[in-house]
Amino acid sequence: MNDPLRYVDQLAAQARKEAIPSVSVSDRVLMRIRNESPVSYGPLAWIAAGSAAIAAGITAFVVPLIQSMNSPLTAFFQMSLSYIP
Amino acid sequence: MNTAAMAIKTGIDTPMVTPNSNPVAGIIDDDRIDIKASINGDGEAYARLVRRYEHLISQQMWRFTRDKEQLEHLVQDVFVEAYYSLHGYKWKAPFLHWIRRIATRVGYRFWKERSRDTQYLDHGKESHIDSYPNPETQTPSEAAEYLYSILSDLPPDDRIVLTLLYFEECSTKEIAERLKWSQSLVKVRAFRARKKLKKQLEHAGYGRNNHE
Repeated sequence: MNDPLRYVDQLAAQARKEAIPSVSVSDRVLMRIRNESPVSYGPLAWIAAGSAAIAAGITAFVVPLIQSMNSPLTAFFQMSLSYIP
Repeated sequence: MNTAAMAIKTGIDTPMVTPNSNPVAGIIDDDRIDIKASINGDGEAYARLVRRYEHLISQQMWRFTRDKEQLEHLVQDVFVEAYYSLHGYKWKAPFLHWIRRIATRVGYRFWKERSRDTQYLDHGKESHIDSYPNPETQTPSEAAEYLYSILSDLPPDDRIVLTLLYFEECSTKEIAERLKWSQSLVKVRAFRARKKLKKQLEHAGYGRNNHE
């Protein structure tokens, strides 16, 4: 028997006769299903919504401010003038 | 004896179609009732499904590990994964066929994770093959252990195809269905895997020191 694959075929034929150990898992499966209940995304969704609302508020306040300061030099002079008596 | 029990006793994958089974899809009535109840949250119905198929699934998962403790974990993983996928069961094939596909994927994933974990440690590893016992003089368990160790030297992609071919005697079509690969991919992989296995055995001295 010089063909290695024929050797493996014979080995497999013998291996298929093996008595397989049986396991009983129903109790543990049920326990895992009960413990691994699907993740609730409710609280996360609320946090995300709150963060989005705060970000929108800040954007609404800051964008007009940035637009009014489109020239940093003008803004600087305006600020300087306000300090001159 | 109902068809489910017959299938378990005989180990036949496709249960016989009897008045107690769905003649169209070959789905056992008991399974259909238990699957519907499980989807509706009946844990006891799912436990019945697990008890009906745990023996066949443990037979299948024994091809992925030779450790009994690990076997239990893998069988559990299969049924837990199946439970969360029950909504996706399309009632086209028997439940056993469907859960066998999940079992194959769980086992394949287990090998891939293990090979990722050990690839850095295994640099320059020696082959498991050092002698070639005569299969006829070996017990089935010894032969299975030996074949398992020979195949474990291959990468997971090759190993899964050859495991399904040698241990489970799956056809190309069955392997393709279980792995969600195309049949041509399975044929190519099987061809390459056999070639690799042959080369590996020859490299380890097969032919020089056969049947020690």
